[in-house]
Amino acid sequence: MKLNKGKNRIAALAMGFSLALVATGCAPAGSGEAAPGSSSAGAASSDTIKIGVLSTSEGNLAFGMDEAKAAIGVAMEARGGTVEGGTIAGKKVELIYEGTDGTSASAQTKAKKLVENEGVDIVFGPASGDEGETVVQYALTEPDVTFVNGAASPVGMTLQNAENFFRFMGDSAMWMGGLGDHAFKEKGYKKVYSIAEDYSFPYDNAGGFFSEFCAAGGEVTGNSWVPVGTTDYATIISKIPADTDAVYVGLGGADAASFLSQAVTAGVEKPLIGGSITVDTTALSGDANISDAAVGTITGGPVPGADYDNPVWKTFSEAYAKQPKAFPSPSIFGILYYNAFESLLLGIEETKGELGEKHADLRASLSNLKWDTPTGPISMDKNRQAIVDNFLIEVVDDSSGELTQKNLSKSSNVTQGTTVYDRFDGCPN
Amino acid sequence: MSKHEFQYSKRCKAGEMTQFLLITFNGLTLGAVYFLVASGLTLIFGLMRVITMAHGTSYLLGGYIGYVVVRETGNWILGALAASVGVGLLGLLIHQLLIRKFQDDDMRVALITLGLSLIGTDLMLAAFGGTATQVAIPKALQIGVELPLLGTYPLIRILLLLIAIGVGFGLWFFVNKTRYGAVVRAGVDDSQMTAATGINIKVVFAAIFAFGSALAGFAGVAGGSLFPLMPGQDGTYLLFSLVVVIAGGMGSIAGAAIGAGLVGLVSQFSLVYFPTYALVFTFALMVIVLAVRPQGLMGKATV
Repeated sequence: MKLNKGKNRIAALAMGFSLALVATGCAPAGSGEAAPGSSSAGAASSDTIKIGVLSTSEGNLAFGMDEAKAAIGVAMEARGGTVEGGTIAGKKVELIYEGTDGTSASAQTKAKKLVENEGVDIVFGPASGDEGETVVQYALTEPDVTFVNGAASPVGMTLQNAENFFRFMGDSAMWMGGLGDHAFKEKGYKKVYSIAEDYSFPYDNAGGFFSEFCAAGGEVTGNSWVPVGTTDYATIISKIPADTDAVYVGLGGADAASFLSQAVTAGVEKPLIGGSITVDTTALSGDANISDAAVGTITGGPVPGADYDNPVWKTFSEAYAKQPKAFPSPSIFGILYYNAFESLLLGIEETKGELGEKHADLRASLSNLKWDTPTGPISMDKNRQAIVDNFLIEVVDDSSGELTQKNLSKSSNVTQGTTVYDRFDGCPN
Repeated sequence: MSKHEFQYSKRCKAGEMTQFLLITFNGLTLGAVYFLVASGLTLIFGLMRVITMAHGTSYLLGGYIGYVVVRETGNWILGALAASVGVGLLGLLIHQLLIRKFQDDDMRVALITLGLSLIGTDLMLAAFGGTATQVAIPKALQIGVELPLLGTYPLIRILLLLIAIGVGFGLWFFVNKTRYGAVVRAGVDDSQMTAATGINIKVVFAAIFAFGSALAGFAGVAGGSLFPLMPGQDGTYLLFSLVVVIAGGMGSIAGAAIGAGLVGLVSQFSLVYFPTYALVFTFALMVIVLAVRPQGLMGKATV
């Protein structure tokens, strides 16, 4: 009896853990396998259009799903529908949501589940970089389903010739357009140290910044690529060389919040240059004391500063503020999911709700779409990649002591480059 | 070697030395947070041998309680107190209602606490959302202090290290040097015999479970002052505290302290030298310890 007990305990521990893993969605990639033939290639004549939504509901970017729902809520409510569905161009539109944890494995499982189990016509999402690359690969194997990107921004996604994949936003290298020059010429930063998360989005985001910064004559004093989910930055901060003018911080979500609050306690006095999601509204609206580190940080991206003035933006942000769980102002996910979902609905309305044989009609209308989004005019290039406006912004302390973002400048009609960045040391090649 | 070059290389060496010391100190202060979380687990799992999968959830709940109380009152100590008492009472309730009856059935206890942790985490996600928050600390503590050899170092990390050392010493004294500690150890070794000497063993176990939970709640406030509180941290801290308790040796306070220090050091050094494999090394540490000493670093060999 006594002997057996030890074994039981280990068995109980092991079982507990494997259950915990399954429950948190870490199932092996193939476990979302469905019965064959349940794919809905022939949905063209059906009266219902099923849209499967992918966004992050766990992990570092867990707020993604709330933002996706807020964005979809704005677009659907403007047409008399709800976040669950409604009637668009005479067709019934049904929305099915699947949350991921931000990893490729979970995006793959959930995308397969939507297509093979739920039989959706359109996959809308995902939110994060590595997920996007996986979903594009999956899109190549499902030519009868149309994929509209949510907020995933790796450069390479629209360079894979996936005819059924559309991205209504700039990639992460485009988001940094103009920031490298601004840092070198306007701010006078000659030497920059780089701290960024170790996955595809920061590679491209930092690559976009440093390629411009290095071309302008800037120097890189070192790169720290940290695992996603790193919460202790004390050691990384101690590695920043003394002769550095500024620090590039390519972190997001909770990682960015940790870094900023620890930069305050560790007394980092260098000015910061933020990646596109480092000092967004989710980081600035948190309760941690980050203002000493965050004020003066410059960054670039698809999200305009608080002083942005545009009637379409005003309408959108007012509707956004009425959504449950809305942030003080829309986050990057909220804006990108809205632009993409509104684009999709405009495309469906353009074809009067007919997707066409193998979605040909819908894809033609999406490829030729042009409209004024809250963040400026959007049009599509031949790779089904959007041509967009991009913003340079700076974090400032407003009169009431709240942190907010101020516009520095706007670049119009930014087009995609062809360099796909990988992890780099010093300047990117 | 010219004088200039010599000076440069000397300075470079001094820089490396300082950095080495800094990483070591960072590892120890990170270990302090791991120890605070693991100290509760070493009582519940290590000493009482009750498998709880809800320890990380207690940590996160404590952090959130502290966060709310500090936000409303501005008093950090009050927040820490509220978190310890709140999570401790909840632990007592859970132990009385759900665990006591099955205390010797490991499989059931693991499943019950796992279920509780899933429910608890989702409730906290609904209440506090998915974004990261932190327990506010007084502005006067958000400064760096000058340390010999290290230069400026965040005061809050030094305070956490001192708190962890205080808690560790207090626990060690309680378990090893007081009558109550002796009762607990006797109860764990042979509960029937201890009960036969007139001690109410049920009360002892309930008190230990509540105290272990209270420590997790306190750790949530301490850790949540330095690191973010958000869904997912519960699992991370459960995992790390299990590694600490198992590698350190079940039920040994000193073992948990050594284990926590090692886990902190390994994770900081690997973050600098092998960032991609930082997590792998932490678990490799546990594998190596268990391969060499199956009972853990300070654990007693069982017969």
